[in-house]
Amino acid sequence: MCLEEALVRVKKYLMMETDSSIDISRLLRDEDEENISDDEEFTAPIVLNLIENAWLNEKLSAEILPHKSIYVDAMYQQILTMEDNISKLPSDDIRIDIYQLELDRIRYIITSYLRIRLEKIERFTKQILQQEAQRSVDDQYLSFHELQYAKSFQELNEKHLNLVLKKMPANVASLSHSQTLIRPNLEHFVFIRSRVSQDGLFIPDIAGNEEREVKLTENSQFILPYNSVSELVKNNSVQLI
Amino acid sequence: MFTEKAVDLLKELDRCPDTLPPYHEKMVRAVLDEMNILFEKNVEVLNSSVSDNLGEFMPVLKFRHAALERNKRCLMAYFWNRLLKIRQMRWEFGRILPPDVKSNLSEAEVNWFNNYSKILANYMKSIGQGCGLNLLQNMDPPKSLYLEVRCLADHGEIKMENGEVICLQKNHLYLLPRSACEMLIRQGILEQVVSF
Repeated sequence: MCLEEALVRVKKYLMMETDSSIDISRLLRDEDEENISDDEEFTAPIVLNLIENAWLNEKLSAEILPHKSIYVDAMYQQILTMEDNISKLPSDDIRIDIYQLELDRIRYIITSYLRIRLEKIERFTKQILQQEAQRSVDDQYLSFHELQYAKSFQELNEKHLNLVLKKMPANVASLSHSQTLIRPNLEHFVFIRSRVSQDGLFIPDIAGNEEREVKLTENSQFILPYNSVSELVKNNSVQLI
Repeated sequence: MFTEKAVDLLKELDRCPDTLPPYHEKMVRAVLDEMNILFEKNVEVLNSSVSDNLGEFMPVLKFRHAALERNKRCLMAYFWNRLLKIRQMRWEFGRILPPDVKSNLSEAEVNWFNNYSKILANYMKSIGQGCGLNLLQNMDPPKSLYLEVRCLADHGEIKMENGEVICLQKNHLYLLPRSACEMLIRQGILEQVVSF
């Protein structure tokens, strides 16, 4: 394609799209209109937003958070359909690259989110499995497949370490639970932004025994120890930044 | 001195933070032997002494036991940290290890690696209601769709997603889609050309 032709194409394209900024929410909304989503509350941009927030939270907290596999699965399906749609466009269509790059960005967020979770699962396998066992079926933090993964990973490691333990004298040839438990450090400090106004958040004072009350107002930002806001992160009233 | 060898093992591992040193079977066996000797000596003391003069031997018993525990702890740390490195290599090199790396692994570790690959693959296959998602791709936030890369080795032909076949030759420059060359860059076959 010669340069002139390309320029004409770009101009045409820009004229067609009066708002020349191509943001993903628009891209996804276009897609949605085609598919006529029956659930107005969970359109693709909203789901993407939820995933982005979950990804940030997961990235910035030391412990594993409740899984969002429903959203991730839905978003992933969406990406696949869109990629399918893109491949149907003529190969010299200028939109292909732009769409593809946006899709790659979403792909990155999803894979990164799942990777971070896997890393945490691998690191704190024992503790996570122990806590999962105590949670009810509806309140599981790991998705079904992640749980499977955690179990087989633990089994694998125990098998490997047992090969050496077997050769040790009998009185030291086992590992106690507490010897192998790795816990995340929940006292690390995090930057938070509150989504809702609420008071009655008590922060233990490092120097004394007294607790200090912190009032959260909407959109206010704080640096706080993670364990004092962990519940708020899980119920989505606070966003880690 | 007791436990010296076990500490040496850990030091050896610690000295190569980025690579995996060869599995030191001789040393591991030496540590295990030392543990068995310590144990036997303790058992000997316990069997030969009568209960009333056991107090005399208590310090030495305790000392040997502490040495045993330390040996065990060092060995566990050695094996565990090697596993962590091998895990890292699964993410860097993919399912097949380069032969020079593989030769540094013990047989049990190769086994572990293969099993780990298997459970990871199973998990990746299950994402997205069975569609499968390769978590080894999209490791960095994408800045552009295409990367300019230089080929460092004669790799041969690779197949692109759209079915095109490209022959990678040494010292040639290519402009390839990110998804096609991400893994090859990590394996050291391609090198990203940074242009400013």
